[in-house]
This record gives sequence, C-alpha cells and structure tokens, in this order.
Amino acid sequence: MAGLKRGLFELQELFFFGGRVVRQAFRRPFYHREALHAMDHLGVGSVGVVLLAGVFAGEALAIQIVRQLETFGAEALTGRAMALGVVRDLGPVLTGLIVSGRVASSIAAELGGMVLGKQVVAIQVYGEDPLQKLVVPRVIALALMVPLLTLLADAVSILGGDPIARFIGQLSPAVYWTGVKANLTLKTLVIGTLKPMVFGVTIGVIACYVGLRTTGGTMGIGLATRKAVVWNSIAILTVNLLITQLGFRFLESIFGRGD
Amino acid sequence: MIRFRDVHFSQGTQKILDGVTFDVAEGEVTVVLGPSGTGKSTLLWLILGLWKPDSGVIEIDGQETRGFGEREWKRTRQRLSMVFQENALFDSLSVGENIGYCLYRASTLTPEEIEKQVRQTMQIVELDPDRFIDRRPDELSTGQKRRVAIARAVANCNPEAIFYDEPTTGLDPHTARRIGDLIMKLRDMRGMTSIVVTHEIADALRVGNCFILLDGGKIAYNGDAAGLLACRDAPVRGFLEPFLRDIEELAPRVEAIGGRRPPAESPGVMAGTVR
Ligand SMILES: Nc1ncnc2c1ncn2[C@@H]1O[C@H](COP(=O)(O)OP(=O)(O)OP(=O)(O)O)[C@@H](O)[C@H]1O
Ligand SMILES: [Mg+2]
Repeated sequence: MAGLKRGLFELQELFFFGGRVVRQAFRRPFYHREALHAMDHLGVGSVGVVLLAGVFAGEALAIQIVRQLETFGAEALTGRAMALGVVRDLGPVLTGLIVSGRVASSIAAELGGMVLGKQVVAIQVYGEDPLQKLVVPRVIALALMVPLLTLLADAVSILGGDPIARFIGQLSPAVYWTGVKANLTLKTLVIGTLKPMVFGVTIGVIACYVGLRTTGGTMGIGLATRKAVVWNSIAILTVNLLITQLGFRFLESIFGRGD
Repeated sequence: MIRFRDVHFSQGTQKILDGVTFDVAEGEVTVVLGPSGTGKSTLLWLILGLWKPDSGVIEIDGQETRGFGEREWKRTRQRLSMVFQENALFDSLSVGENIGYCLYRASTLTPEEIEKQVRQTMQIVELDPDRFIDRRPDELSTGQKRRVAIARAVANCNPEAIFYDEPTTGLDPHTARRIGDLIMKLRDMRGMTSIVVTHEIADALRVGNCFILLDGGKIAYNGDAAGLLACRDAPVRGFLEPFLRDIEELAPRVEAIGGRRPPAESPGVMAGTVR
C-alpha cells in the first residue's frame, strides 16, 4: 500500500517534471550546441543497432504473415500487411525499445554522475537552469532522432520482407511492393512518425528525471540506469497502446474511417 | 552584505544548523571554521539558495531571499561565485573552457580576449597555460583540479562576492600560501566580499578579517583573530588546541635556527594553552 502510494507520487512528480520540460523548451536560451551534440551522440550512434534489429524483425514478421495468409490463399496481401504492421507498430516500438535501452541508460548515468560531481549545482550557481541546459536539448534531440531512426527501421524491415515474400511466399516482387505502396497512406505515415516522436520525448523525460534524482554514490548511478530502462520500456509499450487506440479515433475524425 | 538571522536547517531528521546568526561584512574576508560535518558547506549552499532554510532569515544586500523565485535567484547568483569543496569541474569541457565558462557564456569579449584572460588566471593559480589549457579535468591531479576550480570561480564575470569551500585543502604549503595571497588581493583590489571555509587555521589567520566558529550547529565564536586566540570558551579551545600546541612545539625550534616566531603567537594565548 505504501509502495503504491509512493509509486503514484513519483508518477505525479514525473508528470510535473515533463510539464516543466515542455514549458522550458519554448523559453530562451536554447542550447543549440548541446542539442546538436545530443543528436549526434544519442541518435546517430544508434543507427547501426536499429538497422540490424529492423532487418531481422522485419523478416520474422514477414514469415509469420506469409504463413498465416497462405492458409487462406491470400499471400498476395503480404505487402499490405507488412506496410501496416511495420510502420504503425513494429518500427516505432522496436526503435523505441532499442533507443531506451541504449540511450536512456547512458543519459541517466551521465546526469547521475553530474549530480554526484556537483556539476548540476555548479550550473545553477552560474545562473543557468539545469533543466534548460541538460534536459531540454536531450529531449528535443530524441524527439527528432527517434522518428528518423524509426523511418530507417521501417525501410529495412519492409525491405527484409521482400526476400521472404519471394522465396517463402512464392510472390513476385511486384505484387509485394504494390501491396506495400497501397497501404503506405498518409494516415499510416502520420501515425508512424508521431508515435516515435512521443516515444522520444518520453524516453528523454524519464531518463533525465531519473538521472537528476540520483542519490547514494556510484551504486545510485547503477540503480538510476536500471530504473531509466525499466520505466521507459513500460512507458513505451503503454504509450504505444494508448496512441494506437486513442490516436485512431482522433485520426479517423480527420482522415475518415478505414485503413 | 550577507546576513543570517536565527537560521535553522535540517537534512531529514538530522538537525544541522540550530539558530545561526551572523553578518558577513562587505569587502572583508570572513573565515568559517569548525570540525568536519558541522554544516560549514551547508552554510554556503543556503546563501546560494541551493537549499532552503527551515526557518530564519537570510538576507543578501538587505534583500530577504525567502520569497525569491527562480528568476531572482538567477540574478542574485550571477553576482556571486563559488569554489566547491568537490571542485565540480565540468568534465566534458577542457580546462580552458572550464575556467572561461562564465566569460564564454555571458560576456561580450571575443574568444581571443577570453583565452588571454583565462591564461592570466591560470598563471595566478600557478598552472602552466601551455601545458594544461587543453587538458580534460580527469587528466589532472587533485591539487591541479583544485587550482582549476579556484581559477574558474575567480575568472567569473566580476562577482561581488566569492565563497571558497576548503580552498587550500590538499595543496602544498607553497600553493596554499599563494591562494591565500590571491584571496587577499581580490579583496584589496576589487573589494570582493569573501567567505573562506577551512580547516587550515594558519592560512585562515593570515587571510581573515573576521572569524566564525561553528560547532554543533551553533555559532561558538564570532569576532576577530585576537579574540579567537584569546577566547576561553570550551568549544573554541577544543578546536584550537591541536593547532596551538603545534605552534608551541615549533616556536623554540624555529627560534633556535634563527627563524621568526609565528605571528599567531602571543604570550597570553600560550599561557592559556591546555596540555
Ligand atoms: N545530501 C545530504 N543528505 C543528508 N545529509 C547531509 C547531506 N549533505 C550533508 N549532510 C549532513 O549535513 C551535515 C553538515 O554537512 P556539511 O557538508 O555542511 O559539513 P561541513 O562542515 O562542510 O564538513 P566538512 O568540513 O567535512 O566539509 C553533515 O553532518 C552531513 O551528515
Ligand atoms: Mg564541507
């Protein structure tokens, strides 16, 4: 009971923190050097892992889809199913989880170290706002880089489906790619880009929140790192479900019903 | 310039400051002494608004800081500077960028002018600019980091007050003396108000105008050097005793080799030393 209360309290604190980050993101000064560095360090550094995971996950998904559709003699729809599944869910979630494992941990550890080394207070003493200098650039970098990484993951996943459709589903590439194109609608692309943008913000906010609250020496840094990854993994899966559900209703009101 | 009125502060259930009242006069060097863990660093953190007192009043330039919002704190902190006990160097920046941190950020100087100023400051703390300016803080020895931390605080954009948390701890006596000279020079030339937290009583007596001894969360002594050495209160004697004994033991030897007696010594004090 006490644990639940503390958990809810922390969740509330996290939301307040997120609110402050969003508000500060629109205030000056904007630390563009820090933001560029974070984009390079956090985003570009993840390209390799994301590409690798994207290909393999895409192939695995394609195998399942082809097998299922074969039983109805509908393997010609593989391309359509792939486009939807990858762009709307697989790509964003996969990228989000990879980035949260790789980047959330490193942000939490870095900020945790800065807290323990009193660098965060030093920033305050120099009349700067740690939120603006340390958190906002990282959150913005992630909000931009996670969608870009997701698009990369999407592309290689769908590419990875091509040989599967060809050799296991005995489909001609033309059929596969026509299916893909047919389902890459504006709505799908909007969902597929907005989702990872939200994930990016979530990852950045949670990792920074946890990192800035590090206490208890080097062991505290270890705990903060773990907390950042666990909280983020849960958050990404939850947010994904929420966006898929609520987002649909909302987007349907804009783009109309149907896929 | 800085004024504490009956300030209380606790960390969790631990009471750290228990009704502390004192003034820091403008343009003077105030030394804060006291055993480890009595809340000397805490005092500085409270002045900078990094922690808030439980009760009591802290004034800076006659302004009560209790009602300050983030913006007022920002403005106030820009007029202050601090050497952290932990150095708190930015380890993603080079030594030069650390020292020029405030100048790069807030001044209208060109990068060349800033570098010149950084080099000058490095010379003052006796760090060879050519060797060290491009190094990272983690490539320095403890004493070298200390000097960078002091240089960074000093190179700050003309602060009105500067707080040193154990500035000479871990430095060799020669450098410690130079740092002491620097603190006095900044006071005399720029009229800078300084607070020096330290254990090194010899350094403290040389640089300080005004002395505060903290003990058990209360002010055990507040006054000048002569008064401190003559004070008969138990906490003061307890704190000074090992130091006075050193002087007493050293003095005859120093005299024997023709040196001068340490200035802190006075017959009245020596007579009162408890053995
Ligand atoms: N972050 C913290 N959380 C809880 N207690 C703390 C914290 N920092 C300091 N304290 C406690 O506050 C007291 C005062 O600490 P402070 O650092 O001000 O001492 P100090 O006089 O500067 O000591 P020293 O000379 O060793 O630096 C200590 O007894 C310490 O146990
Ligand atoms: Mg201290």
